[in-house]
Amino acid sequence: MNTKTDPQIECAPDVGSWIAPTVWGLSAGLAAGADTALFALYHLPLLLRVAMVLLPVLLSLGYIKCVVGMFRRVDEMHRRIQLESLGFAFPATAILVMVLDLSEKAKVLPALHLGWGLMVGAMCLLWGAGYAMASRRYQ
Amino acid sequence: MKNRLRELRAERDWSQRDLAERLSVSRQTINAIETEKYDPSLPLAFKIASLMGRPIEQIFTAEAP
Repeated sequence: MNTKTDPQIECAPDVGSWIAPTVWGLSAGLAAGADTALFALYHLPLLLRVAMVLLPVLLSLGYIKCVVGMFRRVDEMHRRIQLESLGFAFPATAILVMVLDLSEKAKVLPALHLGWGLMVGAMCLLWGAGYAMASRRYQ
Repeated sequence: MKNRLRELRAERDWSQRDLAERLSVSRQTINAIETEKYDPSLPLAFKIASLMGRPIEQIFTAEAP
């Protein structure tokens, strides 16, 4: 059996491996934010609006490619940690959004008009919290 | 699952980092296996057995029920 070090395996995600996905993710978020502002201010031609909607989607594909590539490069324990952290973040975000939406509808909270930005932000924060909790389990 | 990885590593005078490099995993993964907080996959367990030159059952044993 081959026991030599595989140079393709990154073992554990370091700070540097998060730079590319962060840049792609922020670019997609900024493009979507700019789109929202421009749609509110101007009535643009249909083709331009379609192109503007597609731009953050394309940038998000770069983010997905980087994150999936990073998951493939890390070793098996770190892949499990990521799985556990995403397994926490995904339902926790759904619950948070559901509670906020229901609270607004029940008039427990004032109308907050929180859009996709809240969901993405909450998902990132909960992913980080899930990663910290899952990492501690294996320390 | 119990294992003798720490003992076998010490016999060879390898650090956790040395062993991690030989197995293409992180040092944290070696530490988690040694402290029995993480059970390695079957391919990694076989890789460890091959590196240590011992049958897998001499390194990893199921915990008593």
